[in-house]
Amino acid sequence: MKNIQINENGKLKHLLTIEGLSKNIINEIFVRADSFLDSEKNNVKKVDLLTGKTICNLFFENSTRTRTTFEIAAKKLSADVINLNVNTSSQSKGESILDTINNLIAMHADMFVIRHGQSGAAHFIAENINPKIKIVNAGDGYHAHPTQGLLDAFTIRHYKKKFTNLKVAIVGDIKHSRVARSEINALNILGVPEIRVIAPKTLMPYGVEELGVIPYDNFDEGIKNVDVVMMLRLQQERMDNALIPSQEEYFKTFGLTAKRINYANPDCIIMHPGPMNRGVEIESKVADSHQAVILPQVSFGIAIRMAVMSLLLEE
Amino acid sequence: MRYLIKNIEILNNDHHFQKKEFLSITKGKLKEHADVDLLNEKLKYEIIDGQDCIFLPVVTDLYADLKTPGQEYKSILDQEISAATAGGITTVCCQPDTDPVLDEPSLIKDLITKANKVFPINIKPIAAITKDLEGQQIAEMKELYDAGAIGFSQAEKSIINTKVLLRAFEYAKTFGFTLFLRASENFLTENTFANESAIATRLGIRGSNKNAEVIEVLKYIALSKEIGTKIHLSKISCRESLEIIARAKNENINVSCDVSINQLLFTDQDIDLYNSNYHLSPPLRSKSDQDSILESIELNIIDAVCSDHRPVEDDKKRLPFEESESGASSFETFIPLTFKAAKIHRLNLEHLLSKISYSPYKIVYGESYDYLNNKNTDFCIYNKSHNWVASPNELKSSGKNVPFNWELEGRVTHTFVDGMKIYQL
Repeated sequence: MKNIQINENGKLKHLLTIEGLSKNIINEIFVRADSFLDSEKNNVKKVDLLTGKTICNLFFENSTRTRTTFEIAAKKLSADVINLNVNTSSQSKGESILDTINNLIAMHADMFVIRHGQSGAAHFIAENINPKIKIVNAGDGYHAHPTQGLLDAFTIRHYKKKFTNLKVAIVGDIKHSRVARSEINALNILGVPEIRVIAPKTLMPYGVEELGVIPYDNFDEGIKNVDVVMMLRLQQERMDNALIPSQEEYFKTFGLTAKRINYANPDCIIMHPGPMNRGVEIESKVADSHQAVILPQVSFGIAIRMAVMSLLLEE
Repeated sequence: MRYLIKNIEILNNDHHFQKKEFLSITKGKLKEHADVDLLNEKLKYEIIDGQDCIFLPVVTDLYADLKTPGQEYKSILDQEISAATAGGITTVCCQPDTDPVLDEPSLIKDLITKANKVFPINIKPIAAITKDLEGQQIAEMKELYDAGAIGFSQAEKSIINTKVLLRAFEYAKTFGFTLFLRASENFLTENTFANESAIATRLGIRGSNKNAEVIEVLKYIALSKEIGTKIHLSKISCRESLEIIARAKNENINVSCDVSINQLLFTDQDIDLYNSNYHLSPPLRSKSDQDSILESIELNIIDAVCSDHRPVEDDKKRLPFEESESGASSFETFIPLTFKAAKIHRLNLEHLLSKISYSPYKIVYGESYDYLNNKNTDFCIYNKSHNWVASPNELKSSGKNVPFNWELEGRVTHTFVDGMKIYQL
């Protein structure tokens, strides 16, 4: 893929997808995130890296959690933040995406954090607007959610230290998951030797092997000896589209239970991008167990988003 | 008006290039002359120099969208007929998925009349199989045929009710009509925008499974075998479909098929980076499917290549891939792209050109074309050394989007219909 997110000096220009990023860029983001976490520990609540910059959270899809973490991250960097929920604004009056964005650029935004239901929307916007404006993809269709992929990899790095000796399983609705695609890209770049994806065939995308993973349709087989289990959220609409028969059957066959986690390595960590459906993809006591690192993921998410925004907007 | 074409290569009735010293057209009739002295010197001829040019008889396009009726206020029909003429196409078959649907005889007559007011090319509408394309009630096929429809189609819509489909086959057979069918099962293609493939997975684009086409091909061929209805399968795109069609042809089932010119030149790999110009229907398939298409052309499993011309307004293309409208402007690039496909895939050019001329002509008119002895002298002249870029300013079509950005080698310089010059570059 032509990489429009890297400039001629090899530096990050936008963050649209993890695909095509170098290990160096990812490590640079991680090192920055480390420093923000250290500052936090030292009670530094705010840094003035982006004073005078305006960041616009432009969400064409509803999201409270992701938008809030981006907003917190931007405010901690001292940027001004505008939140725009486009579902309720001019798009519903027939304005095109580009017209919406160009109007906001005219209001002097320096960065757009964009979530959109269409795969490739962030690429489309990055290609068609003033090149000085930075774009961060906060999720586009089934394609990518790069900051989530980065924070998940960052979480693994925190608990496991190294990537090159790990077996990681991603479980659930791989087919419709931008999170899974971004996690797979990140883990491949960072050198994870074995990435497994576990799902019923109806939720497994075509040609998934070509992403550099091993597909499993049997959870008990797929989870054997893994060091990390990354669960994905199952959305209600999947039942409506005849992809699975019921939540109950899904939980029985593809839910992470206390019994199943025993097949993994004893020090296996359990991750989930949230929000969780307890009793659907994960058993409650597993979600609350000592192996679960789901809440630290959220904290790391803010540090990662601060790192990405500051890297992109610093002159 | 009299014309004298000098020193040109013609694609002859046997689909071979043949050098002709002199071709004259007088009162619409084409004649060959070994010696120019045989011409009556008192008569004035407009001379056309055929150096570097090919004389292509009856370029016939089996699948095009004229967006008419429906968008008259945008003068789209004028632009599309002008584009077809500039593209050297002398017969255009257009689809019924218009607004309103081409399911009334008056609409067929009106379309032909309006198109011929622009240029007198042969407009051959394919009318709807079912009323409003809803797959419930069979349209008045005989009336529509008498009004000028050459066959019947559901365009991109499938008939879900198999009983209605069976009746449509039986009714069409009654009159010997051809059903032009797009094999596309609508449940499987709903909300899909690309070929189901590893690249679509990577890009997160919702892909259409090949079975959407294969299942319909199997169904249509089974019905044709049973009932004997002549069917033409439009815009076939998958290897598996072609294997089924090859077997059907071996069994002498009355089936023919075409492919879109786009499938010869592009594959699903081209959608990389979400270029909406490659958002087409059917979607661009894999390299393996393309290989099968090329082989099937050589083996005459594929009877014709169509332009799949579908003009899309710029605002409807300039959107994220899945939100953009499918289609590409192809009338004016149809012949240059056919030459290009022969060159890059090392196909027999004469054979490939027959797939856009003699072969689809026979499907539409039911008889072979003889360039010297025929009712209509329809042809275009294609200059192989006229390079050009299909830029928005150059294209006459209302659709300015093409799925490539390279320079085209060769361009139509003249189009004649019924012995009359109707276009000159």
